[in-house]
Amino acid sequence: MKIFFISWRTFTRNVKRYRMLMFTSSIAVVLIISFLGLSNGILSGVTTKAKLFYTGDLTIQGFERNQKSIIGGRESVYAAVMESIPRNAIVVERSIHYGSKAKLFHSGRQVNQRRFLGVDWTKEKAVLADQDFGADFDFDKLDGDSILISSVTARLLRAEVGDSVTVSLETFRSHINTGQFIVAGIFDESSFFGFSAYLDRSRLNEIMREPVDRIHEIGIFLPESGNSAVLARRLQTNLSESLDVFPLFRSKSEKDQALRGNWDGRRYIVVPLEVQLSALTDLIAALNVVIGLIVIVFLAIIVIGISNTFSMIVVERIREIGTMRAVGLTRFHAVYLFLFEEVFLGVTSTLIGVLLGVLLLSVGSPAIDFRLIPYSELFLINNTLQWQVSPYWIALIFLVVTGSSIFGALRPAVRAARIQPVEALRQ
Amino acid sequence: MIKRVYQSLFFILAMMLMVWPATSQSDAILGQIDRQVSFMEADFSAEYAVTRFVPNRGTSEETLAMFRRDRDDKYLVLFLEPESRRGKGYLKIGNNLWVYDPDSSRFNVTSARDRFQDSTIRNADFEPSNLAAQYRIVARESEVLGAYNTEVLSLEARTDSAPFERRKIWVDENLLIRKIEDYSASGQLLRTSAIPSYQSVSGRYVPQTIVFIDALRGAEVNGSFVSERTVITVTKPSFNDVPDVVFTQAFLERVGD
Repeated sequence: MKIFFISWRTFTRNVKRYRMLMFTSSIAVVLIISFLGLSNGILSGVTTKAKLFYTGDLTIQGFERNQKSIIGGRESVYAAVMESIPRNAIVVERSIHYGSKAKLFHSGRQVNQRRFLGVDWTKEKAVLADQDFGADFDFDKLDGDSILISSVTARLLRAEVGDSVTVSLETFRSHINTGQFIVAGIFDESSFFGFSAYLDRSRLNEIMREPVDRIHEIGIFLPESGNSAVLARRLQTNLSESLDVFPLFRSKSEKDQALRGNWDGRRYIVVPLEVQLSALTDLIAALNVVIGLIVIVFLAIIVIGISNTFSMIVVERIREIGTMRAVGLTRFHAVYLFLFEEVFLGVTSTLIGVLLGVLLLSVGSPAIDFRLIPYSELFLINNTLQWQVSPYWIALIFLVVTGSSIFGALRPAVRAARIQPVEALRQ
Repeated sequence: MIKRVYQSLFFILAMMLMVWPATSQSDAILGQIDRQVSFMEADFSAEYAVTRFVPNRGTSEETLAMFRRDRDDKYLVLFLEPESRRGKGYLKIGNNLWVYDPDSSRFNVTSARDRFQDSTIRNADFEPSNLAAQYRIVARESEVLGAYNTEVLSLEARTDSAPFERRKIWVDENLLIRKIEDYSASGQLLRTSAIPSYQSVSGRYVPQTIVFIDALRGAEVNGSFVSERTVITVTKPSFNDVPDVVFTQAFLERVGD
């Protein structure tokens, strides 16, 4: 304990020597925090958009062999859902048209759509509220003739709010059917998941020539996405008490393979968002690898910088070390003395770096126009990047940066401890 | 009680007898229209000059060789021009339709309802007319269409194989189709086709020019909406036998190479 206080005293006395090192480490932490904050913000933005596209954190689908999903036993499904999910989760019912012949027309222009999402405007209000539909947008004015289209679709169609567009799709009889809609809102979305448009559910069903009250998927939007795996298991178990249910799948290909298999009747599937996003998972993994490499480079710079600077400090403080060794400081304690100094240095630098990094993200992120970046609609929420740095990440940065500092200082500290007191005093 | 059952049976029978002639008459008319432009007893070949006009983007031209064997439900469409598409082709045998790309030497399955080269033409437009099997007449009226006294038949699809849910056809005194309007199930006009002239070859009618006007695709030009349209001009029609090998994938591959 005594060596800890001695170390603190020598650290504060030598703080001028550590100034440059502290500055470098802090800048490295600022950069790490900024990268993590932005990349987590991008991932969170992508996940939020994916949730809207794929009907929530958890989706329930009901298949008959070689047919598209239809939720048949709605009461049994609802009973299981209500039993399984938190009270503040949002449950939505959607009818979905998914096909290569889904198109939007306006003034002779045509844009293919990947999905037409038939929604209940009242229920979906809480889910879509995060999207920026413009200043004059009013959810309560949406009706059967309203359609919400993506900004990219609007740009390609040269359509604006208030314009009339034609929805064209292929019915279950493989015939083209159309409907006229008024653009009520335009939301930011890239084409990453494919273009989608939101329509009134009964109108969409009418155009698809399906019963107006039919739903194809039930989506559950959880207040916190972290526990979706646990809830998916619970929901699957509860559903299987009254309905035929497939086991939980780990990937989309596993699900597709099971659907192609030999089975009868209607079977339900609980699909967590991660399974829907299996294509995106690779991208996220690649992004994580890049971020990891950047962090490793920064840490390597810290370690090399500290090692070199510490070697210099040891040379500069050799007489001081000799004096302390002469009055009884053991080799072991000499190593600790320097390592504790490095802990103080690491903690102080990280603290400054985290504060500056968070400040930079808070001020810098809203000031930057991320819309200039191609495909930024994929991750921007309300035209801004919602950066995120969790306490878990901050704690990890503290540990890693301080650990790296100790690692960098270890070699010079051991070298300092090996110096004979007499030799040191002669220098 | 028994009297009531007999009354009901009589009513059903009477209704069937009333509807039966109408249905069979409807089938007969549509059958006659089909026969006017279908060639069941001979192979058909011709050269199709396809001119596509897209407002604000200009005009493009393609030349196709068409080979049809209606009795076997087969056709082959081969691109002759432009140079960039030479060797590309469509082959239909029964319910299967393939498109061949010579650049990748691959066949891909496509559908009769798909647009031909993203134009106003559908792949189904190359098939022989099959109105009798696909549609029923729901309304009839007379109308003068240019120089022709025509009968306008409103049709409703009765099979999923029909290319459009609703159609309106204008038929002249010779039971030749002069105009077609294709509608979506909700009644929106999707496309208008016109056949202003036919040519007589070996006692059979062959369209000389077919105009397809897209009702949804086009652009605003000088303040008014101009539709995208495609014109097919049929030249060198022939009813000579076409070798069996023409209606094979191997033929397309060989020609493509």
